[in-house]
Amino acid sequence: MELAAPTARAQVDPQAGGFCAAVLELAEQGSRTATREHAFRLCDGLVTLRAAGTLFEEHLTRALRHARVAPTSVQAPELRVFALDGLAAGGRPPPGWPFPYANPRHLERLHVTRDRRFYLKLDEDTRTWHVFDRARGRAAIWTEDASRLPDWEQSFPLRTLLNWLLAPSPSTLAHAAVVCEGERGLLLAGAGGSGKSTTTVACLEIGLTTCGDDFVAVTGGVAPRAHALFDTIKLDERSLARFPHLAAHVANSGSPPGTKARIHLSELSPPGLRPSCWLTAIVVPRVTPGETTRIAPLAKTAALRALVPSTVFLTRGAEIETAAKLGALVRRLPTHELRIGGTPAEAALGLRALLAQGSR
Amino acid sequence: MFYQHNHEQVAAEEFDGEFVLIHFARGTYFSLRHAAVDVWRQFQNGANPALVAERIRDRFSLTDEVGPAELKRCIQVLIDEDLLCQVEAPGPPVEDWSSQVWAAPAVEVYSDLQDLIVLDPVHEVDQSTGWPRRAAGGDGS
Repeated sequence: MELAAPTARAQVDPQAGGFCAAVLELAEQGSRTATREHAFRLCDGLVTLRAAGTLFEEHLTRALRHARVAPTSVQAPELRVFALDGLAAGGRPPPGWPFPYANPRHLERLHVTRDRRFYLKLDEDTRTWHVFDRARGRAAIWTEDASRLPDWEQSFPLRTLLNWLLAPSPSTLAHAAVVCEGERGLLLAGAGGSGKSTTTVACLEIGLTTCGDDFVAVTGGVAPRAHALFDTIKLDERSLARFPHLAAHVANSGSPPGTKARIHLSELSPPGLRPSCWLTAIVVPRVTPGETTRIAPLAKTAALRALVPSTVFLTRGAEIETAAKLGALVRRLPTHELRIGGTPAEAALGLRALLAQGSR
Repeated sequence: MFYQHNHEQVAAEEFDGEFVLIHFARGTYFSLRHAAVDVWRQFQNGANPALVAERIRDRFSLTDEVGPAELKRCIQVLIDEDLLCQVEAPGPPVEDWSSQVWAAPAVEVYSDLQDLIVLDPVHEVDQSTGWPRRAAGGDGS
């Protein structure tokens, strides 16, 4: 099947649909060589995945092992994903970006039709397409060569598709960590370097659990919930040195210097990963050398600035919906600042105390 | 010339008398406080910048010495940062005011997350002819 580039501006939306259908068909055909189908329960929804190419399959499934369910038990998944490694599938390269600059929902290399049915994204660096047809509940990932995909993408496979899938629902992705005690959890929001990951591992060390370290799903409403999506924790060299027993569990130990160590919680014993929890507060960690570690009240606007911009900038295509849902979450939950002046263990104890306060 | 909240690209959330604005395409976000909150509200339905400045001057009984220059700068920032976009006609004036007392507009611009915008270079938005448009003299690739 040929994938013709659209030419007329006025026809961009219908052509996006045709292009999406063609990519989906090619990926579905190509992934028939897959030896097995995977099924996952993610944010209370079922997602199936068939991937052509052993390397690509490993790339897309390792961080989702915790969410596996038997494919035979899945009758009507919310999303069926067909993944194609072009090199493994006989050298079939993905097409280039065919769309002209056209309508307000059309960004270069990201196109969302006005009716929010079709989503298309091309990563030019790795030549990887993500396409999603909401009406059919089908999506495709087509990469030129899975061996060229950056290591960090293995930390959150299907993130792009999950973001689009959740757009019209009460749930959304959040760029945040979650630490839990029992069924209660705290959402830790903050940019890279704010101490989220180190604090999360420190919480695991004192017996708390987590729903994720970098991206989680959250569902709003009167009683907001967090859901685990990926089982990964990423630590830089300095943070990893604080927890030397984790060195043996680093999944990407051969990566170039400067790459964060990727650890899959499902592969630890005990895993420390919890499927979901009730959120009781939002906490923004901040490293404050020389101070005593403490938790202080934080203005809602500061919590919003810590949570929403980085989430919407990292998960494109559903920005308006994501910002609104996370804004509502910030309104609903108490907001605090975790001022980390001492060790990560002190920070973890502070969070445990906050979780205990919320349970009274 | 009339301007309005650029709904396609900008999310706005208000908490406790402060607006946080997030520009999705540019990777920037903003904090508006004091009279900047009223300036922002006045543009919700579409308004002329000079008339907005005049309404706020009247509202707070400002003199030529206090206020007008700050208001002009604030409005210009909102336009330059693409938080407002041009529209063809004004809407009804907004009667919702944040305060009875004048406090000069405060606009903080945050660009620390711009590196996260890897999908798209910065584009100038032209609501009438389509989006995105290549900025004059810019990369726009």
